[in-house]
Amino acid sequence: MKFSCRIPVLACAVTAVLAACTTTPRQVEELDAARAAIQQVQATPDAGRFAAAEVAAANEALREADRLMEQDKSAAEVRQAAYLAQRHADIAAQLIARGQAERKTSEAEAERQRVLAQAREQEAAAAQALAEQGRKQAEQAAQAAQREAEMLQSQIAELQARPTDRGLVLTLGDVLFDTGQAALKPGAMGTIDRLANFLRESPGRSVVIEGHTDSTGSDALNLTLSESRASGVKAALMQRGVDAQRVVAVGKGKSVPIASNDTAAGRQQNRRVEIIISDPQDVSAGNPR
Amino acid sequence: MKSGWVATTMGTTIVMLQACAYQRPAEVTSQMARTEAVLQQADRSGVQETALSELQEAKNKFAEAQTAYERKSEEGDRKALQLAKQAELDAQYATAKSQAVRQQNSAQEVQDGVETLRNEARRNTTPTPARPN
Repeated sequence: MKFSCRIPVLACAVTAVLAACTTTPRQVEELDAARAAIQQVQATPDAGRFAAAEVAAANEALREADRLMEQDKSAAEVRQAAYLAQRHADIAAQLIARGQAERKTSEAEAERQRVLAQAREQEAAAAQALAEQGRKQAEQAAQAAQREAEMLQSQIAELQARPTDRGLVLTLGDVLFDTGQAALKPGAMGTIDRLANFLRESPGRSVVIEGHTDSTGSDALNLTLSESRASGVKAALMQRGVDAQRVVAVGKGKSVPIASNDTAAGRQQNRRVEIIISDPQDVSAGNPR
Repeated sequence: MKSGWVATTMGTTIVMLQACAYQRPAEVTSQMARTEAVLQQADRSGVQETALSELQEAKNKFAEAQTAYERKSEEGDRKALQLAKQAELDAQYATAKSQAVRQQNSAQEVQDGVETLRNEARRNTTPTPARPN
């Protein structure tokens, strides 16, 4: 700082006195500290990016301090310059910290967006998986229904029932009964078992059991016999767990011949029990047990 | 006798010159104004919330500078200029520190937010126990 009105003589005198009685500072602690601080801040990786101007200002102040040292200026003057250099370095350090924090913030923002997008993707994937699961379950249900239907088909085939307008008709021949008797012979039991099984697995179906005879003998006897045989079959089904309400037994006597009563073979065909299995009602056929 | 008169006259002249010759350099006044402006700006930016002691140091130094400045002397102005320069950088330092701290806080907030979000996402996508088919 140069004060314009300073009288040269006086100035010279003062300078001379100062030079005479103050030793030039060989070392100013503050200057060394400032130099170290500037070196440290310069070495920070982001210094050039976030605090280039401030670092330059610090170096400029440091050069000024060095110059004052070289010119043997007072320690106070050197300290002042060193202080300013130190402060520029401090400011630079804070600018770098701020810049790094800003970068961290924007990185975190980007990360936030990434996590959000990922969460949305995962949600979509979860929804898709749920839909897939539902589709598979439906497929499995359909397959189960299909198996059910196939099983029914095979059971019907096993029963050797034939489809008619009235439903499936299964005929138990004369040979399964003793002549003039209502009781079923043991040979009929396999068929009765299969029928009972079938009815248990097809809850929607019911059966009508019709007893038939040939024309030999009195009407009354034939009617009674046909009723007894039909009831016998119903009793056998009930024994195997079929609900009585699903089974109707009727005797038709000789009224519905299917062959001529003039031949022995024809008469044998007419002596029979027909089991008419209704098509499923109320309860759907595909419904699992 | 004559030489004594001359000496007296010279002495008086020097004293008179010294008294009325001091003109305050423009640098001092402009530095005072600049430091004051930086301090006011720091106050407006809420620097005291995050760098109170640093700002207070700058203010104290500037108050000292103002006292020296009021003396309207060469020595006073020298001191005022020196302190005002320091106070200006002190205030800038307080401001920079305050901004850095705030930015660090907000970075931490965003990072915490991301962590929370990540945890939520993890919870939401934890597979529900598969039902036996």
